[in-house]
Amino acid sequence: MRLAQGIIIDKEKTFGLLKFSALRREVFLQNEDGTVSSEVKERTYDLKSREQGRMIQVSIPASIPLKEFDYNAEVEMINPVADTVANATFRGADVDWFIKAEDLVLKGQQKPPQKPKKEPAEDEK
Amino acid sequence: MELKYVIPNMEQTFGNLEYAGEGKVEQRRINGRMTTLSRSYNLYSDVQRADDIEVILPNEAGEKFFEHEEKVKLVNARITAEGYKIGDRGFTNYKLHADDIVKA
Repeated sequence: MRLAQGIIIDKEKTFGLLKFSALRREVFLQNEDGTVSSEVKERTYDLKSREQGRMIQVSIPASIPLKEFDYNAEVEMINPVADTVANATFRGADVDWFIKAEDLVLKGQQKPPQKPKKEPAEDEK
Repeated sequence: MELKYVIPNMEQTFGNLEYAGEGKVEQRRINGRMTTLSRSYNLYSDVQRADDIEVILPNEAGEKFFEHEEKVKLVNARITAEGYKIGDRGFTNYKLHADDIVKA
């Protein structure tokens, strides 16, 4: 079956405890002529998943600044969405899962409220 | 990457499920005797309206009998994915496994 409306996953049961490992890659936007620009589209991180028993990759949009957590810091994904991509092989097809999330935060912390940027007061000298 | 399975949020992914009917029975000859490995059932979902939902139960769950369009729910549902191809293009076929079906 297709599940055309997508799968909303139960992140606790699917991934269990997640530990931060590393930044895996940055995906850059393409220019109109097909060359790679220097503008980052999304960043993919490696996380250790207890339920899956392996390292998983999660992609976060570039509007979220680079995450530099400590190795093995316990983290939580915000609104993760799992989807698949299928590639035809010489016989049949292979399926790969991928996960996109809105944000990655340290476990136990709520999404930090968007702080308005404070301009340094002009009369400060 | 590979995932063993994903566990869906049943409420948001499938909404209300209704029993549609029985599907296929997978059997295999073990020691010369036909043994049932799994049974599948078709369900209707008011969220995933494109196809019916095919759920696969292990043999241990036994046969299930429900009225047509009776409201049901799944126990320990999990989703796996496998691929198939048409021409040179690959497509995903999702498989929903559960331990049991019970009345909602």
